[in-house]
This record gives sequence, structure tokens and C-alpha cells, in this order.
Amino acid sequence: MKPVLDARDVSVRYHLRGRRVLQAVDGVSLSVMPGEALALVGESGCGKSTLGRCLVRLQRPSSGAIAIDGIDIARMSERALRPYRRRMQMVFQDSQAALNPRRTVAASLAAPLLAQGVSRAEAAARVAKLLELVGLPEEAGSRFPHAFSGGQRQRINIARALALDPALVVADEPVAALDVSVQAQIINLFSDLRARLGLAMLFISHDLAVVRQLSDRMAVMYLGSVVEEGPTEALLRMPRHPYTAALMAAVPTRDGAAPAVLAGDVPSPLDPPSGCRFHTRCPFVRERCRSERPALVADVDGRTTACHFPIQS
Amino acid sequence: MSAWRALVRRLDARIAASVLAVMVVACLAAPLYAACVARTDPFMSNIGGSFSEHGVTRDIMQPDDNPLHLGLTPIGPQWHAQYLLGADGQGRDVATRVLYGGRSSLLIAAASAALCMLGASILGICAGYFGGWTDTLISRLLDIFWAVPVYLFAISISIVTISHALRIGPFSIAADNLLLPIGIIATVYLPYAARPIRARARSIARTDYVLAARGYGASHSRVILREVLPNLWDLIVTLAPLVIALTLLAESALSFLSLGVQAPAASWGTIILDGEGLLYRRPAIAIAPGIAIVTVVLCLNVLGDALRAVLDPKAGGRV
Repeated sequence: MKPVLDARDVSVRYHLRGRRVLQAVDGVSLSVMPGEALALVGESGCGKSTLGRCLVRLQRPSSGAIAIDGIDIARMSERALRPYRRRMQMVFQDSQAALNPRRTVAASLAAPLLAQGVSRAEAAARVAKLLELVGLPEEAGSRFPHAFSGGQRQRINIARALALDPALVVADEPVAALDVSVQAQIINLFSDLRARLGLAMLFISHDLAVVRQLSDRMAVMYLGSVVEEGPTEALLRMPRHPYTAALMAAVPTRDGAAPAVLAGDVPSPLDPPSGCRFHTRCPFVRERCRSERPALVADVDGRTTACHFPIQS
Repeated sequence: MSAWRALVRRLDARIAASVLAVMVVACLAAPLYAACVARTDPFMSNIGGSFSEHGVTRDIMQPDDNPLHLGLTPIGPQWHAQYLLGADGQGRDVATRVLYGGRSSLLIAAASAALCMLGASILGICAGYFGGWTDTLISRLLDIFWAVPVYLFAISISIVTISHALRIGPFSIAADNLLLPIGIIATVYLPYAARPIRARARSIARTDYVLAARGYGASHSRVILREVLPNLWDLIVTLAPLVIALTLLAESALSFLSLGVQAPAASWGTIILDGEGLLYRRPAIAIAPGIAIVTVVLCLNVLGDALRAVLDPKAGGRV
């Protein structure tokens, strides 16, 4: 089976004043199979959102290849890209900012269809189906976004992302701005939609609890590159990269034990550390980590880790 | 349309709109007034003329009351159908001329404001939405316009165009063509309207819903029409009355300097100029169009403020 999305060595560099270069994404390779849910995990500022935007070509990567259904879209012009846009859609974190306040819900939902050349009548019929699909009443279509709660608005955003019947949905922190009770509803909606439509999804999140519920596989990012990747369950049960272990230790637990917060700050991507990017904060740092950058190494059990001295089970 | 209802509910907006409507209708009815009430031609010199009232015939131009009876002074306000506000230096009915003047003043003000808003919207949206080089180019150009004092700028262009008649390729615009003042006034106020539109377009261009629209393959023109413009309407509607007030003032100023509407046609500015020489003996000639200008500008400002209060919830005010 061919992957829906296959990103190879994607980098995003920003050239700043004084010849300084900010490396936001540093040679990331990812692939998502049809129907699969991949989670992209990391602290804020690690480049996961930038990567997500590149993958749906809301921004052009500086280098690398992004293949949708086997066709590289990384350098395509907007015009050439238009038919491929149908295959991948994005759900944003801020449900309010992602909807035009001056357009009715029905108009917002029909917009992707009209932009892709679907007739008005067909679009109207599809809008009714979309509202039903995300669990909103049909009369919601005639109202404006401000009349809805955050959770309902996120349903509208999901419906819009599904309007073009994409193969892949990239969701950037889709539940981070919602109340916990509403989060559960939206998570259930995502699971339900995946089961019904066979959607492939890429979830960008910093919340490991959400990641555990939503994803089959997860990739952990640190300072622009992937440090560990594998099946979500296995990774969360037995992290091999010290950074993954540190992320898990930082989650508050029910027994009241103090979460172990990683010492120090994320180094500036303007001036990344030599060797392993994580060596400045790694509790197991050794001499080799400071000079030599570890490559992502695939293990027999379908996991890859970028660490010279992975944690042994 | 709750904004519309909120506007109608405001007393100040209702009064301003009614006064404006009355003035516009009165100016539009100027030919009717000239033919049926004043029974005079507003453009023909009438120095030797006379008119009769209650069976008494009087000359329009009265000899001066200086000892030598040298020179002539037009009659003052009669508060009667004919020569309601008196005659001007050429014996023409001032009231009729004020109404006719209002036609050109209001027409030029409205047309140049419309042209200005159209140009400002196009420039502002392009600069704000596309950003980068487009923005730099347009913004710096507007800065250059803005750096020159508005009236000085308008006077400079007017002198050049009116003295030589404008020729652009095969097209030639005569000096007395109303298109000239309309174009000039619209140009000088471009930055005034374009800057706030650019700022709003810029913030809209960075919203997630515009990003989402690009993400589903909407072209730039589609995004501008469907996502950006609907969020700009309130700003354009709020700016419009204020721009009309400014263009009206500019039109009057240019006409007063003989650089706008050309004789024998009248505008409020040219009538003030006519009255200037008679300011001490017949002040009504200059005061009447002055009052008209002040009233219209005041009403437009009140209306503009009311619109802003109604359309922008953050600005406070009654809802």
C-alpha cells in the first residue's frame, strides 16, 4: 500500500537580518498510510506547527520533498497545486479565528466546494450532509459562527476540512483550546470520522493524553527534528529517547507525584547545540553526544530512535 | 441587519440624515425653484434688470448711498419669493444660485469621494493583502502623497490642469469639465482612506480563515472578494461620510480659488468668492453658501460618528 503522505527530508529555514538563519524544521521525514493516524508531539516552538503547514502547503518548505499520492507538491505552483489541495485539508487550533465572522456556516462550508468548481446546487446538498456528519442540526447552516460554542465551532471547522473529501486531514492542536469535557466529544468525533471515512490524519499536539487516544503512531520532535518515532502504545509504554521519557515524566499523574520537569530551556533554533540537539538538557549525556549528531536508526519492531545511548528496557 | 436598526434608533443619526436629505432634495429641485418661484436665470448677468413687488418696480442694482452716488450695490435679502437672499454683484438671484451651486458642490463631493473610496479600497486591499513588495510600493507612494499638504497639492494640480486642459493620449479634458476637480480631489484624499483600509486588510490577510481558504485552493481574487471584502464593508461605510465631508470642503476651497468649478457655473465655493467683495454691504451672499457647507459637513460628521459607534462594538456608545 502506498502512503497518502510521504515527506522526505523537509526543512524550513528563515533567513534573518545579519545573515543569521533560523532552522525551524530540520530534515524531517514522515509518512502516513491511508487510514492511519500519526501524532506529531513536542514542546511549543519545536517546529511541529510549521511542519504541519508545510505538509498541506500553506507554506513552502525550504528544501525536501512532500509527496501526496506519490506526487511531489513541495515546489509546485499554486495553480498546479489546486487539484491536490482536495486531498489534504487542515483543521486549526483556534476555531473562532478559522471561521469568517461575516459568513454563515453554510457559506463557509460551501466555500471549498465552490473554489474547486463544484456547482452551487451540489455544494448546498453537500453542506447538509457535512453538518449531519459532524453532528450539527441542519438549521445551523443559516447562522453565523459567533452563535456557536467553541466545541460546535470546531465541528464546523472539521466539517469544512471534510468538504472536499480529503484523504488526509492535518489537525493543528484541534482540541487544545477547548474545555476538557468538550475535548472528549471532539476526540470521539475524530475517532468516529476516521472509522466511517477511512481518513488518514496527522495530529499536532503537546498533550500526550490526547495523542494516546487519537493516534496509531507518533513522532516526537525536538528543535526541528524528529528524535523518536513508532507505534503510540509502544512509545508511551517504553520510551527509548530520553526526551520522550522526559515528556512523559512531565505529565501530572493522579497519585499526586510531582511531575518531573526537564531542566533548562529549549535552546534557540538560531544557535542550535552541536552534536545531539538534546545534549544540553539530557540527563544521560556523554562525551559522544556533544560532538556527534545521532542519526534516526530503525529498530526491528518498527520504531526509530535518534540517540547514541537509547534507554534499554 | 441589526446595525441598520441600531442606526435608525439613534436620534443624532436620524436628524443628520434628514437634514442631509432635505438639502440634497432642495438642490436637486433648483431648476424648479428657478422657473416657478424665483422666475430668474441663475447664470445670466442681470445688472440692468428690475423686478416688481406689490406693484412697485425696483432696480436690482441700487446706486450706492455715498455722497456722489457712484457705483452700484445689489439689493439685499427681500425675504420674498423673488430675490429671497438678495442679488449678487451681477444682479443674479443668490438663493437660486446657492441651490444650483449645491448641485455641483454635492455632485463633485460625492463623485470624488466615491472615486477616492474605490481607489483607496483597491490600493489598500492590494497593499494589505499581498504585503511584501506590493505593500512597500503602494505604502511609500501614499506616504509621498500624504507628505504634501492636501490643499497645496490640489491647488498645484488644478493650476496645471486648468490652465492647459488635460491631455492624456487621444483624450482631452476641457478646463471646465467637472471631471477635473473630481479627479484631483479624489487623488489628494487617497491616502486618507487607503491607510486604514490597508491596515484592516493586512490583519484580515493573516487570519486563519484566509489561510484555510488558501488551503482549499481559493484563488487570490476569490479570497479578496469572499473573505476580505465582507470584513472591510463596515470600515468603508464608516469612512465614506467623513471622506465626503472632506471632499466637499476641498471642492469649496478650490472653487473659491477659481480652480474648481468655472464661471458662469456656480458652486458653493464660487458663490462665496462672488460675495467676498460685497462682504460688508451684502454679507448674505457669502454667508448663505457658507451655512450650507457647514451644515452638510456637520451632518456628515455626525452620521459618520454614529455609523462608527453602531458598527464597531469596541468603540463603545449606545447599542
